Amino acid sequence: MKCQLVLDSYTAYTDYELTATMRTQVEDHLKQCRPCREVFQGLDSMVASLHNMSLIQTSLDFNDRLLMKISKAYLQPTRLPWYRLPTVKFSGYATAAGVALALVFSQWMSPSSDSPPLTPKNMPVAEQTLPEATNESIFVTQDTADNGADTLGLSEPHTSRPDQPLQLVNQRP
Amino acid sequence: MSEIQPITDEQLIAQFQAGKESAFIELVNRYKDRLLNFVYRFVGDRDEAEDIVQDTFLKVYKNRHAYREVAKFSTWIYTIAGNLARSELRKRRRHKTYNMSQIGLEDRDFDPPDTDLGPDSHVSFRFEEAEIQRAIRQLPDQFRTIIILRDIQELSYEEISRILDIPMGTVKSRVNRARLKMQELLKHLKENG
Repeated sequence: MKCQLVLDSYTAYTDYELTATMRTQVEDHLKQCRPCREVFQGLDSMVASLHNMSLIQTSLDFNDRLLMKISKAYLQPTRLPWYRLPTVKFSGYATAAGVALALVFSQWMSPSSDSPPLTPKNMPVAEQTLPEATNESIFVTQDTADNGADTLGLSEPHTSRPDQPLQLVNQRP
Repeated sequence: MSEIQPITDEQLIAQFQAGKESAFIELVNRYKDRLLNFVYRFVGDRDEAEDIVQDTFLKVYKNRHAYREVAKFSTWIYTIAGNLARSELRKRRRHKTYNMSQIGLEDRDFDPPDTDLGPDSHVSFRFEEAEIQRAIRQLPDQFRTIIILRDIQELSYEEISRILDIPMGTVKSRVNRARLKMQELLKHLKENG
């Protein structure tokens, strides 16, 4: 058996894939041929070293980084034209609201030319009554006002006939 | 009672094609370390290898509908990773001109991964591993791929045949030739210190 044929058979020999006859021929050759024997021994040791090479693992954040890249590359929303960007879209509404507010305030704040400026004294009566207007103020007439009944409050609007007395709640003794 | 069959890679990619994103994550978990070791032996740099594996999964994500179940999923993903690793090496070659003396010097930068061996064995093992890594990187492409798949990742001939899309007989003869070539390179490296 020629050396080259023996060397070509190394993997099949170690995998036990040679026929019995071939296997015997290889073994007989190795007994006699020192260089081939050394090559076989060297190959055995090299293959063992390759099997023992350390395996490495991906870093702990591998998946996170990958998903980040994916979301950056493929899951980004399509870019809107400038006039459809939210800032531009809503700035119109904001401007309109601002203008409306400015108008209202300017109307309220500016003195009219044919009326005196507003002071606490000349302010209309309705605007002087701070408590909220209720039916009480309507139905507390001159009679009740004189009796101080306006401060006690009425249970219900006075709809009775004028000759009937007003019904008061929480009458003072 | 019938045993629960584990879901195959091909079933997972089909689910992913149908819109189930969790199937993609499962594929990532199944393949990330295998691919990292495969690519790492190609490029010799851990960070770069990890980037290439990330790019591999990005391509899988983007081109998921290009996969057809005529080939095994492993064939497809290893092909993508191998192509990316090769193109990375080509890119490097464009920047650097190699010759035998330069390879020896440049490869001293190789940073072997950590192992859990004791202090004494650690040193000798590292040295040997660095030497092997250097020899792997000097192998022609087709030999390097087959050595990594067969002798480091210990895949079966059948699986390698599917991944490389070559007949099993070719795989076996190529493994033998790659080993002989590798031994020659190791001998050369030993002789040159």
